[in-house]
Amino acid sequence: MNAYWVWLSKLKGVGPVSQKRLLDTFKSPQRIYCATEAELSTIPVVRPSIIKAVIAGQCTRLLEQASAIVEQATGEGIRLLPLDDPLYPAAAKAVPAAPVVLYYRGRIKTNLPGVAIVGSRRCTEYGKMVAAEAATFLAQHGITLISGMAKGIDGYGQTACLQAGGYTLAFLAHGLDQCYPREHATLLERIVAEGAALSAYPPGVPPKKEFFPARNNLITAWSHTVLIVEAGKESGALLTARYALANGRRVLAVPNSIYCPESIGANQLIFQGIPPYLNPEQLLAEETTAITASRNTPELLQAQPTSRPVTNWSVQQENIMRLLHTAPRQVEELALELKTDRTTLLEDLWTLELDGFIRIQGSRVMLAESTNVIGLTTNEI
Amino acid sequence: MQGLEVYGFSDLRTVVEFLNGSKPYVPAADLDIPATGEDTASVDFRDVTGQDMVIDAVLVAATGGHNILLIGAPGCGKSMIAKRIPTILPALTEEEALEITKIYSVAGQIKNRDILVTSRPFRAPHHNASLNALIGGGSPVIPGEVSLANNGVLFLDEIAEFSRKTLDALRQPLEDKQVTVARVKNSVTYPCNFMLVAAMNPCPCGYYGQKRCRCTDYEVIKYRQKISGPILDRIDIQKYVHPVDFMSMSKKSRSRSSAELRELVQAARDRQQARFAGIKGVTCNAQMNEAMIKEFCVIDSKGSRILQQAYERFHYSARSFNKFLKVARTYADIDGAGQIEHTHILAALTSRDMDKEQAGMMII
Repeated sequence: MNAYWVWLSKLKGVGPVSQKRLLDTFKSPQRIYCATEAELSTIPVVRPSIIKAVIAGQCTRLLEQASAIVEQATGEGIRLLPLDDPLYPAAAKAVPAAPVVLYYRGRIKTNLPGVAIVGSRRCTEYGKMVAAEAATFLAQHGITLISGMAKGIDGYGQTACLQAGGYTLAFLAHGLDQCYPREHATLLERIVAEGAALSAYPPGVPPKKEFFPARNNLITAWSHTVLIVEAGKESGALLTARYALANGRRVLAVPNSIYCPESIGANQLIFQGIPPYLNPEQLLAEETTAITASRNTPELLQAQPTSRPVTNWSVQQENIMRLLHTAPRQVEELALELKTDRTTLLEDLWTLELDGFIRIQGSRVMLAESTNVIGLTTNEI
Repeated sequence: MQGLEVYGFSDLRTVVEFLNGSKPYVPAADLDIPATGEDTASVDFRDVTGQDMVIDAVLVAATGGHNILLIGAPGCGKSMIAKRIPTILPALTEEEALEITKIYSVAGQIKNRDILVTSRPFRAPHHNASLNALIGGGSPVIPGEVSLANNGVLFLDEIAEFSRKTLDALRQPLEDKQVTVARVKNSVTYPCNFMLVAAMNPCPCGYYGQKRCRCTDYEVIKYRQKISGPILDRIDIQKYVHPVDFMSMSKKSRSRSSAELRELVQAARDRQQARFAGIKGVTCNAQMNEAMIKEFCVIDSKGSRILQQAYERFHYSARSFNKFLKVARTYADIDGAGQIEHTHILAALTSRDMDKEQAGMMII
């Protein structure tokens, strides 16, 4: 039976939209396979070129190829998700470009659509932090995280989600017998074990540049909200935002410095009227947000590690923090500027690092990324 | 050469006279070539400014016989520092000088044929070096870089670029301090008691931790895993080297000279030798086994509290625990302290920069 679905998806010159139109009339791909030219011609919305393509595809060779794909997939633990499967979310089906059959490894739950977190591969520390925080929030609220397991934002989001015990789906632009990018091999295995990896491509198909836009569209199809964390000029993440809007999904963009090249696209989205993302609460579905807004929810904010109260620093430690606030420094420089010897300085630095305020990398000392979040102003810096 | 008197004769008759003792002869002019003499090396740690923390780490490495990994972007001064390490190692003993000379002689690399090699070797094979070039090989068996670095420094720049096979072959020489090359007809054993100094980029782009770096944590981990665990395991100290802003640093600070540093090394080495006097095969802190660490690296409650905090915060592996203790022991030896104090623990905790970063990585 599944072979007919694969056959339908592989018809040359017949796209998902036409495939679904044919299904509307014939109900099952097997019937399409058996349909005569006269029967096909009765459908008014299908163009003659499509009918010709279907007739051309009605050969045993193509069906045998489809059966071989099904067999290979089963052998590799890859399952098929045809359009008539109850696990195929209705919201995703409604998107015209949604494929008639998907391949997946893992377990598909029913709490869908979810929230997508996507962004640039070459991301900043800021983007990484936002993605991880948002993903952790989703995990804590039992909301499915949808992403593409790409380098950078996608990978960080899904890693953080799994670390927080969440459920995540990864949409890939290649057959599920492979892993791209290669360094995400362990991440992919964890996603499969605790969530699912999905693809529109049968096993054996390598990643190709032209597959990625369709994959991005698929991500938006399975989500009700899409969070764009960092998107450069003309980036894939920006394309995802456009698909999301076309599919009627809610899009949120993370604002960032106007000088940050990684965020030109995201800032541009905000300029165009996309709401800026300011806190994870916004990721809850609209109606739930309304409820939580009426309720006081400070306990959620308190759960965030970044809102730790500022501890009382010694005079020396305050001086260190003040200096570091302007720029990272070498330990030697700090010692000179603070007129102290390195041994005592090391003790102060150690305490500050242990409390997560600073980061020491070799002899370079810098503020920890999270320190920028907690109001240093409270300590008059 | 000590204990050796050299007489010069022009003919056999005088030799017979000398042997019969019938005529007194004076030994030739003292041939006491400065085997242990002041190094003629043209480099000095005085040239390195603004890198006190790194020089500290190098000092500790040289003192305790710890192998060291320098991490940093290209051009930050890793090689400059590595090249100067032989200048702070203790002066060569005559025995060591002879050993070096013998190896260089076998390898046909003696430049000045009349005298002993008097400075510690510094070998820096390119990462393209073949396994045989590194370990030794050929017929007859020629010593490889590990043996040519005997009693000196083997510097592996861009260690992540060496092939895994080549690096893995270093395991046994690092452990046994000698290497045996077997042939069908015979087998040759050369000593290879060297200090390993390695250098690498922190990530594929080289600027990890700086604003301009865009490497993902997964990429960074994959890059670092190119160095196999067993090799990394034999390196006690991992230290970041950052380029120095010369405008701000060079005028303000004064660096210690190699001679000053060498004195510290020598004094602390003497302390170690006294400590390990009755133990065979152990001359410095890096060679301590677990039982010795238990015996010699006792820490007070303040020190152990700091270590515990570090473990909770940075999720160090159990393996690194002993490394911290050994390095802390060396810091204490440099200070001339009998007991490891909490300041030594604090200093030791700055010696494993790469391990520390692992805790902050967003990976699965």
